Amino acid sequence: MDYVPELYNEIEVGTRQQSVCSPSVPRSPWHGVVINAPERIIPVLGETLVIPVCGYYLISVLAIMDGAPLSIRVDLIDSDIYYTGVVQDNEDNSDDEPDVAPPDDAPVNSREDLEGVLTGGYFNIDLLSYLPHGLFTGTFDVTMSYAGSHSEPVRIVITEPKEPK
Amino acid sequence: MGLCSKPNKASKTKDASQSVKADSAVQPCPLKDANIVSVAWWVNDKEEASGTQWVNLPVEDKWVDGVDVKHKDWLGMKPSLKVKFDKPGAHSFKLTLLKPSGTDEYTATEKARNSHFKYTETIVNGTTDSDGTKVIKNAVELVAGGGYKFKVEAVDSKGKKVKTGILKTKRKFYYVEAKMKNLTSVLSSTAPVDAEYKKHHFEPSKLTALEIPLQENIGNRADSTMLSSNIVAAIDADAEVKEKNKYLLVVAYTDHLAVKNSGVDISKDNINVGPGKADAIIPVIAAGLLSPYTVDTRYLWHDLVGSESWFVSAEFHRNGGGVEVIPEAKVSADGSGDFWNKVKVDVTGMAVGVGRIVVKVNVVDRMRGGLALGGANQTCVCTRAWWRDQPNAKQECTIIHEIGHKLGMVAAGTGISPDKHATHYENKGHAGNHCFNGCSPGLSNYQGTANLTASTCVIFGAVNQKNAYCANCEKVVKKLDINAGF
Repeated sequence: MDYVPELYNEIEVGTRQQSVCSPSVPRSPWHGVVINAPERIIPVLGETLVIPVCGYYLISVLAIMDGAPLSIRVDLIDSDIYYTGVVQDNEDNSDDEPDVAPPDDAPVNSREDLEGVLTGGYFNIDLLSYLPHGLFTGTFDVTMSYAGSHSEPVRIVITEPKEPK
Repeated sequence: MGLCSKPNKASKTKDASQSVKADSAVQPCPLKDANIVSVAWWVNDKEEASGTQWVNLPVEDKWVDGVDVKHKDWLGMKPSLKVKFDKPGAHSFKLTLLKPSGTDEYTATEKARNSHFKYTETIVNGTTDSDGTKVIKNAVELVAGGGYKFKVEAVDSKGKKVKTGILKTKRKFYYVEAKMKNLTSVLSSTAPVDAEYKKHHFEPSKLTALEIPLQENIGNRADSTMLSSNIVAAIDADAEVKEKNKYLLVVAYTDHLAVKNSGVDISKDNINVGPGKADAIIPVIAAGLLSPYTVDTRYLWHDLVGSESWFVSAEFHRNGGGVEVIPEAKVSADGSGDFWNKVKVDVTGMAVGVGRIVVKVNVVDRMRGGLALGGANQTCVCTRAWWRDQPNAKQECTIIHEIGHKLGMVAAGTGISPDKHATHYENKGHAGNHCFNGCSPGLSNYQGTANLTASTCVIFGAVNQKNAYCANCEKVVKKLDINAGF
């Protein structure tokens, strides 16, 4: 499919690293969630639709520990219709890998240590992986929330699909 | 047996029958008193009362090792039989493969999914050759699982029954250790691994170990791919190992299997900086890379890959505006031993002010005890984790666990696998199919010390040193179908 801007073709969804479409991080003392998404998506008949959203969060650690997980809201413009989803994956299980837990004497940060501490991270997701069903042609506003912080909405236009080349 | 006239008393004994004249009006029947006398397993042109059938291996001479497998007739799922009557002639008989004992019966859903879970339940009709015997091939089929004890019952036309002794099913696989050069803490003996699988009617045969190049850490796909390539090259160079490839598992010993989370931002607000101010202490904490992305204490990435540092960058975001770069020399790690869970920033060289310090660091996301490398016959086990040697018990645990994955555990009730059991879980804090026996059911995440301690099965999703399958899993392990190899 085609994305506008084209840079979204380079995004590897399902990763948690900075990407070419990651938003720039607002200056201190900001904290919250920021996201980027393609302005326009032209699906191709026969291809699986992928809607990349690239984001960054910087949130109080204690808020994350106690708050709601990273989640999505998609509003269809000029309607009352919206969809929601939680970003939780069934991760790739091609590697079956038993973890080795840290030993009992490994130090652990206490809640007191975490007062005033923020943690941040990038994410690159396929919106459709976390919604109960697919999206079709239309204009949508996408918002993401994490532990009580909400991003500004980004608008995505999904056009009529085109024939494959 | 409609070949003869009414029985003649004179024919009851051999001597009497010889006295009957050839031109007698009523011919005595040579078959009339024939009785079935035996049915036996037919191996290497000899009758065997009982034995072991290696059901997963093909009927090929290359799998005959003279130790476990003494003849190729002991291979495959279709053993041969010999029926014998006490007199020459064509005598009819019926054979039935009796319902096996020894291992749990396959369920209806398992049988529906995999034809190798169904034994021959139909009656086989046969007739002896002129010598009063018959060798029957490819008429009965066993099952793919291990520990099933089969008998065949044969009955003649008069209803006389005879049975074979027990033919027990087993499965055999080969494995080879591939040891990276210069490792210092490789498992000293794999006997406990063998013992665990023998309990479940597998026969693991260990081949002479291979040597592979050292990799400091296996942490991502590129590392795993290189490891796989090195293993394949080592196998290709060893004719004995290569010949067994279809039923061969590789246990590669590695150094660390650590996963890095790169460029994590940790920051703290309202830090006072300037001459005489105290060091800023920032806990190292980050979300996990695997769902459910738990935010928890992490440890700085150090001494795992020689060229890689934990430090990426540091900045001071002054309240009211302005960002100042903090030199690496002013930032140090703090913690206990190798577990560096805090970052310490010397702020005394900065102009007086208040603001946020942001430190970008590389952290350890997790340490794996082993890997079942995707889509192949290769597993690997780490000999070091969290900067320490892995004790033998943990390496044994990992090897039993990873071999289990390659054999088809924990069965998910799909494809050719047995049914999913009550304590199966998938992708709940641990990647892949595992068993939570001992822990509470229904959790969304089986990570954590409490679950690790409570777990009772070797194929729980973390290395728990419970080096045996639980009661739920051992029933499934016995049923696994490895006929197709690896």
